Amino acid sequence: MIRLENIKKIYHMGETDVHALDGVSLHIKPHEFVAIIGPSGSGKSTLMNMIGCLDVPTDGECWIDGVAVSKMRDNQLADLRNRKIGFIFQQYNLLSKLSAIENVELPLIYRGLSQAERTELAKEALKRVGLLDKINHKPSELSGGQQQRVSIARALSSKPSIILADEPTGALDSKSGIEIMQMLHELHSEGNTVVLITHDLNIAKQAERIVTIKDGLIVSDTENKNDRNEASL
Amino acid sequence: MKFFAKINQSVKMAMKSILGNKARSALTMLGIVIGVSSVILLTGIGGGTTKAITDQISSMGTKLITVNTNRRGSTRSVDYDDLSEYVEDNPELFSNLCPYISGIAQAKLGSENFQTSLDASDEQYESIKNVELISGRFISEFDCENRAYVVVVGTYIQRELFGGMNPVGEYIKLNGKQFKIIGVYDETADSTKNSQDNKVTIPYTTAMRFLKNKKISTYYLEAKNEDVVDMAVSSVKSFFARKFGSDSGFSVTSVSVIIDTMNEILGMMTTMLAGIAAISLIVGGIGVMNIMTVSVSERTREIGIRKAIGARTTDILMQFLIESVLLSAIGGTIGILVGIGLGPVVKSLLNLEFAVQMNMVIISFAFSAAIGVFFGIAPAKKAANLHPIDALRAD
Ligand SMILES: Nc1ncnc2c1ncn2[C@@H]1O[C@H](COP(=O)(O)OP(=O)(O)OP(=O)(O)O)[C@@H](O)[C@H]1O
Ligand SMILES: [Mg+2]
Repeated sequence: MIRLENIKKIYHMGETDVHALDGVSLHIKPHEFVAIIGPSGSGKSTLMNMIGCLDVPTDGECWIDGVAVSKMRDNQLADLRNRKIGFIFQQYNLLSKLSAIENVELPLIYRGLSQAERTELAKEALKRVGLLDKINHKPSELSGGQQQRVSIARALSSKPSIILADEPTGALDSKSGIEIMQMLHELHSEGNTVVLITHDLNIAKQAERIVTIKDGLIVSDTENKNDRNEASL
Repeated sequence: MKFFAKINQSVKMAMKSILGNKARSALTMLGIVIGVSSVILLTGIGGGTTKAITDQISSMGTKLITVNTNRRGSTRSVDYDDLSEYVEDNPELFSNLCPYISGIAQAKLGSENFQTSLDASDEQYESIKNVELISGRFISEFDCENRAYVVVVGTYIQRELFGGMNPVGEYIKLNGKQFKIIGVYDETADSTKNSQDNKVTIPYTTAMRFLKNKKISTYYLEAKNEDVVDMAVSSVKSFFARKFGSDSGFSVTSVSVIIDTMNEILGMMTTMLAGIAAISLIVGGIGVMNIMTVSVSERTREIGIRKAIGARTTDILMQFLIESVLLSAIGGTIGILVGIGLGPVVKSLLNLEFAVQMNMVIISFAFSAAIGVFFGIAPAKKAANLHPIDALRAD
């Protein structure tokens, strides 16, 4: 479903080249829950941007559902992000001028759905994250945990098959963090592919598979027998 | 269907963004508002003035042709009977003719004594010059044949000498001769001494004897209809040229010729005013481009988020383009309303004529919307072509 083949991302910083990714190959199967872990600056976010078709690699190829990303046009990439991928960012990335429900509707607007269809799907998504009573609140009127829940609602409103979460609990207290993780588990059990980026081993342990990355290279890739039930509780 | 839903959505988003930043939107629109309102105002004044002037000239009669032989050094004249015959021989061109003499006379009644302008003609003058009387009658053919000492007076004389009472049947002295008042002109100005209401009109035959003026220097002719005015003018010209044996020593003018010239000049003036106003509109457009450019760089992160969740390049392009078009179209609409609203104010304050030019309303609205497209396209393209990851990283 997601296949990365020898992905390199090199930033030219004046005299020196920064190898953010230095030849990463990774295969993520459908319905997998993968945690990508590594120290700060190891290239985790860069990797997620590749998987999410937000960035183009300097070298290598990325396939999503068997289609090579480098062969796709900008509009096809936009549609792919819109339909197949739900992003959850560490900094929520909500539009501050829009209400919770308008933020959740946004991907549906770009899909071209009618107002009625959008409202229905957005409400459904907000209900799942337990924010049906806050649909008209602006992000600034919500707590960090609530904002992250809105961003999860936005990611799942368009019913994507892949959820990409880049340190979704990074800015939250532990209680809100546990709630968010629970939602990711739920999404996974419903059949979504979940890719979770973190530098916290305790969170990574909740995944089925842990990929460790360091200096732009995968240093270990292990099945995680310690399943969620023990780790999360 | 999808396309219209998206456009509709873009309009909503743009309105949100415009209303979400009212002060800035207002400042952005200001340039367009000033530009459009000055277009409406200036062309309104131009059009109003043109209409007022042409109306005034037209009221003098669009079929009227004036022949003047009273040139300095000119001693020749054309006999009234000869010209009458010529006019009668050409009924397809002319419908009427009258002689015209003008001068100054000393009017006197009892102890009152003042100068008044005097003119003289015959009974045809009444219809050729659209004379309006408030009482009595105009000079008749009989008056002319008999060189009668009768006079039609202006309202200044009625007011000054008769205290506003109807003076028909009364007598006044002009240059020492006793004249019987037979009619009173309608007021044309304000009945004051220096206005057109201080005047008297007598039969031309009486005037020729009385002013010791043996020749008629001016004739008024009336063309059969508006379409033959030009032909009638050249026909009269050739008649006088034949009589005078020369092209000089007389002039033939018609109101339609004057109106054509006036319209041309005023049209040029209006175009010039519109040009000046258009420049201010373009300056307003540059203001829109400025703000849109700032708006794009301020909202880089927003653009990144939108792209990350599936906005296409065209979606972002449309969003910003529609925003700039809406900004300038709203500015244009406000400008039109301001222009129309200020028209009557300018009219009364500066004593100028004002008539809203509907074509200019449409043109300036379309122009301001076009300015939104033209000056919005560069910032919108910049926004649309942002790379999603670069945009997301911005702060
Ligand atoms: N736009 C850029 N220009 C230059 N260097 C960059 C850019 N983006 C990332 N890098 C570099 O690439 C490397 C990997 O960055 P990345 O953001 O992927 O790290 P990360 O693993 O997500 O770190 P963190 O846990 O702190 O988020 C870093 O050394 C970073 O400095
Ligand atoms: Mg990161």
